[in-house]
Amino acid sequence: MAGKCGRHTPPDGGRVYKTIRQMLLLKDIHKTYNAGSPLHVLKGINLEIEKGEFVSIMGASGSGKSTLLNIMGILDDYDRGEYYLDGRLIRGLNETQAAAARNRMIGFIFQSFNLINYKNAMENVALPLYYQGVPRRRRNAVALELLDRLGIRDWSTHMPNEMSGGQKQRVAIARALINKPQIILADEPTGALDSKTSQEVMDLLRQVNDEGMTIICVTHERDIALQTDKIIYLRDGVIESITDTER
Amino acid sequence: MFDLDRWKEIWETIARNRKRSIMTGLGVFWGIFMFTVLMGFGMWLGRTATASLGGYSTNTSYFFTDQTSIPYKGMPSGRWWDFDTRDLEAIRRQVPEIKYAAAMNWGGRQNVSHNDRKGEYYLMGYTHDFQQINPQPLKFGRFINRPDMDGKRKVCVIGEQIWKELFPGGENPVGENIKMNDLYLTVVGVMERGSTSINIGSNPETTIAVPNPLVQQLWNEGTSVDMIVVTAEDGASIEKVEEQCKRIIAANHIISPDDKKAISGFNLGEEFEKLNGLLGGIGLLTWIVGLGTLLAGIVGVSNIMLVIVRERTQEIGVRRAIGARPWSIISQILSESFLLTFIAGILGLAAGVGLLSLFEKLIATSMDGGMQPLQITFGLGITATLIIIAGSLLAGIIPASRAMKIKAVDAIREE
Repeated sequence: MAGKCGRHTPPDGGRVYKTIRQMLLLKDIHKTYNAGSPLHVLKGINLEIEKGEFVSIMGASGSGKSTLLNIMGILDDYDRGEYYLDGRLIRGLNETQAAAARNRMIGFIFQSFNLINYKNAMENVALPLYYQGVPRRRRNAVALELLDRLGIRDWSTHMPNEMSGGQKQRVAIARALINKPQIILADEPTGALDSKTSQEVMDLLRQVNDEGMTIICVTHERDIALQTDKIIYLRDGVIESITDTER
Repeated sequence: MFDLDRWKEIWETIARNRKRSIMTGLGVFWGIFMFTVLMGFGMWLGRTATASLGGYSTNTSYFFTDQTSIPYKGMPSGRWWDFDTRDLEAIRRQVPEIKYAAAMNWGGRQNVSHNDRKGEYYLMGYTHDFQQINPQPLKFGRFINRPDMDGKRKVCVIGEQIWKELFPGGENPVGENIKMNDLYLTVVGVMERGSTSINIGSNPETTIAVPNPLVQQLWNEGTSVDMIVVTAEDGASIEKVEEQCKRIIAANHIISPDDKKAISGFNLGEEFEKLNGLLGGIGLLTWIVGLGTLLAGIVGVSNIMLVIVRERTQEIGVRRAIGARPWSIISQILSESFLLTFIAGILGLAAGVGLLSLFEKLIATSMDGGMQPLQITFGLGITATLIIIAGSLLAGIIPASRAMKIKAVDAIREE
């Protein structure tokens, strides 16, 4: 079986994988893109991430790390295997179900922040709650509270184009947290930031992780990856190795 | 559907992207504005034309004489001839479908005076039936009646304009005498301008109407008549009556029954039909152009919405990533397009109605009364609004389906 990785190799099938500690479980995930000639991107990924872990995924471009992140984020479907998120099998969901699952279970942080440019910080943060049908007053209050926790309450009425990269990413982190997700998926969260701001963002993510949040972070920067608990190396669609960091 | 929060969200999207929204709405604004103005003028034209025929019975025919064009029974062609009072009696007797038959003689322009006031007016000789055929509202008194005819009484009905000029004090002139050349006429009535603007022979406001025989006598015309007017019974065909009358009159005057030129009949029903056809054509054209303009506006919105959807790929992708269901995205695009189009449409409608009423005021001041409302009907306003609503929803369909195809993954990865 491809992707042998020590104690992270999942137990044999047939068992119920729902344990309190286990947050995310990938069993022999395959994914092929059919753009012209078929491209076998993921060739059997086996991975288990526990609740409260802070892991990073590294790999060269084309190694399949983005595809893996998309599958974990229920943004993309997979061809073969099983993906359990918080004990729930995620497979063959239609768009509506996937949207609802993303809305309830996953918080996204992107490299380019992806804030909505005509909404102020507070409204951007509150947006996931809008799709849960939370009334405006309440979701704005929750958003303000979060911004306060992340130290940018003063910027709550500012538009994204009035904020620095670091501030924008803080807003994005607040947005990822507001729906109290099971996991946070961060796609190159520091890719667009200078090293000082990158460090601030990583510190913030660490702080969030310390409060019990499971975080999976895709990055190609070693310094960043080293600040997580565990680094998963991806190569040619399989997991090459999983190493614990010094922390 | 009537989730207030959702509409707030949509309104914010529109309001905070003001330039984009205005650009989008402009097409619809212009479309509905032009539609309103076009329809307003079109309807006004129709109303004006219809009103100018008002009061006229459309089953009425006017007969005039002309030179004969066919030699007949020893009579040469090119002969001048006139109707006769006997023709009137003959057709009344022989054509049972005739409801009224009247005769008219032109008296020409005459100098008329009353005390120190004088003026030049048209003299017209009417038989009493004329009032039945072409009813003229009366300000004072009565129209010429049968005894006036039989007694060749020297009485007259004057137009309102004449009354104003000859009786500047505004007093009731009935019973007063006016002098025409060296003939004294007793005023028995004053006729007002009717709702119609069709004048047969002369403008009633500046006309002195006298019993027909008086004009015949004045001009030494004997019993000849310049024009005959016939109204058919309700439901009877005026064309048929016209044919019968022509045959009878032709026989009376030794005119070939095939001579189309000698007796010309002018049938208001026919004219009315022609006018109706023309108005219908104009109306149809107005609708086509108006709806075309509307459609162009709606297509414009659809187009711009498409561009906007592309521009907002990232935003839509993010919304989907953080949990917007496909229906949320569709309904958002549809609602934005709906709200924008609706607001722009209502503004366009208001602007169009406003411009029409401005024109109405301007035109009304340059017209001496009889102005028809220059405005679209309330029903048309409602129709236009419904068209806007339907169109706006239609306009959103293609952009919304395009937005649906945006995958969260693609949008997020776009840099």
